[in-house]
Amino acid sequence: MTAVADHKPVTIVMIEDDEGHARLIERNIRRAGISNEIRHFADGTTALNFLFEGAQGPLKNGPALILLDLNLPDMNGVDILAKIKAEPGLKRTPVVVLTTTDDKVEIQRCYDLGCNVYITKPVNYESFADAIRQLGLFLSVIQVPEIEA
Amino acid sequence: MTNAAAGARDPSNLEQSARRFRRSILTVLAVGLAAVAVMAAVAVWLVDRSQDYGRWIEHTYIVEAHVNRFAALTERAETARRGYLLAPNAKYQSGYERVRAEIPTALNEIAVDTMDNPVQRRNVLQLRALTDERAKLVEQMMVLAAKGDVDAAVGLFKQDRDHELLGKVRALTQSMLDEEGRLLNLRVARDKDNASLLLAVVLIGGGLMAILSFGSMLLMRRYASDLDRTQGELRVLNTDLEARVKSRTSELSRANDEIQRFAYIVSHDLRSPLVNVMGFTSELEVSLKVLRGQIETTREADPNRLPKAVQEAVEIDMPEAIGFIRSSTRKMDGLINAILRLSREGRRNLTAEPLAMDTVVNGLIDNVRHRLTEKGADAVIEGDLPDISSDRLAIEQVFGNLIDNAVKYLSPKRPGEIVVRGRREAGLLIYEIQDNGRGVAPGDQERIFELFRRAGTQDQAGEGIGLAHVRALMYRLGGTIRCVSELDQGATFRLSFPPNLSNDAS
Repeated sequence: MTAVADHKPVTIVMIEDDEGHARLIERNIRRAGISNEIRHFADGTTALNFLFEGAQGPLKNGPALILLDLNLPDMNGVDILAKIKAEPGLKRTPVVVLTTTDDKVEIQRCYDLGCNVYITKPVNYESFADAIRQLGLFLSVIQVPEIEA
Repeated sequence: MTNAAAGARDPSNLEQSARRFRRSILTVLAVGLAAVAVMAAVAVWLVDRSQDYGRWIEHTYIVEAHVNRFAALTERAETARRGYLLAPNAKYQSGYERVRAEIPTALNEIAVDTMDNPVQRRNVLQLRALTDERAKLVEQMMVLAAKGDVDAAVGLFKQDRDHELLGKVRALTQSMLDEEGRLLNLRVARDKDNASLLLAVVLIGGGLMAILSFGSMLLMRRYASDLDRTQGELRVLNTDLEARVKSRTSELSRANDEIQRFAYIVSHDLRSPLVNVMGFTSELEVSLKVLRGQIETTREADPNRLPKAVQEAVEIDMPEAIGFIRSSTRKMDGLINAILRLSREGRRNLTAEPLAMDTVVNGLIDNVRHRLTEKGADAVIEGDLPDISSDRLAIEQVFGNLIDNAVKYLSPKRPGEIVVRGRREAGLLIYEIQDNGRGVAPGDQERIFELFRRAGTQDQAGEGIGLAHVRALMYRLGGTIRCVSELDQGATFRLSFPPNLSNDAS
């Protein structure tokens, strides 16, 4: 076992422009028993700023998991995904894409870019809540790679 | 639009000009030919006349020559006679006899020559009489001289009669020559006139020909320049038209792309709030469950403490409201999904492959076999279906949807029969899916192809998407679909395809 000090808590970075969706996701994560810190960004620019520059951001400080909506007001989520996966310090950070699109071509593109999980936001809320809870379980077993200093 | 109008006018202009040209060239040619024919006839006639005149002139010369010969013979005979009278020897006698023998011949020649001329004929008769009379006189003289009676002979010679006769012969000969001279002058003048007339005719004819050829040349040149100009205009119009078609096509495909994108964006953006409605409805349900638990506890403790209104609100009204919200959102989700599917179908790349339609349709019928048996119905392929080269998935969706509809809307009044048939017609492939079901009222036959629209008794599940989808697919495949039906008389859906999926159809 590695030292406890090496295990920083995983921060959940949620990039989601719809306040309602954000609230629903958060509730379900909490309901699944995950108590990690959730940082919510409503647009791509501030989210990227936090990811790359933020003092508490994953590049400078500690492991993170990114929940990414593809439909953002200021940029396409796919571009954010590409930027994250192109940055050596961030590319091992798990990215969960959450979107209303179930377009096969787009799903394919996200996986090609290195997205770890792709979740379609269904209108059938039960399955959506299920998916989020599964994500919670996934979070609890996830092996977040250590940041090399 | 003005361009198009000009384009419509120009070809008819060309046609008009061609018609005008044909008419004028025909007129010119006809007039020319007629003129040439008349001219040729006149010329032939004139040449013929000229030959005739020539012959007459020649004839006149011959007559003159013969008359002169006769005159010369007469003079020679006279000389011989006088010689004989002066010295009656055999030499002069034979000379006279020789000349004397020739005179009737010469006279006969003149007679033959002047058969046509009554004046000369009379002259010849006179001349013959005079010559004969003189010949007799001279004969007497010669006989007397031969007998040695020279004086008697000379006496005869001295008689006025002999001299008178000779003078008359000479005068007559001269008058004949004069007459022939008059005729010659006349005939030469006539011939000259004729020659000038011929020249005039040839000149006029030549001039006419020149004018005609010049006229037709002008016409041809005008027509050719007309043709050139119209061809040029046509070329310009053609290029213009191509450019216009190209720009319209690109406009259309841009508009189409726009609609696709629009449908895609709308369906996504509509879905987003729907997720919230559904999600928070569930949250409400969770909260409601808490409330109900609380009410249950309260009721168990003291049923009277719970107001009836609160209990009704929590146990009846709120669940009912939530139920309606859920069913509505579910329906809305279905509609959005339909739009999304149509827009996605519009973006899918179609790839043509040869399809054995008998196999394809049989497979689709097998898919609904279970439902057919349930309804006691049957579906068959009538004859052989012509094969097609098209997108397999699209074709399967089109035929699958139509067969599915046929099964779905069979009439309970009679055993269901579904027939699929196909044929080639005028380079197109025609397929028909016919049922004996409840049919579509004529007024609804266009409406059923519209999105979210349905027709007839609403006793079957459905959202009004299938036929809209089918028609969109048919358009993309370059084909058309039509419904032929009477209410309660069954329906026939007629599909017509180009034999090959064209590349620009997508």
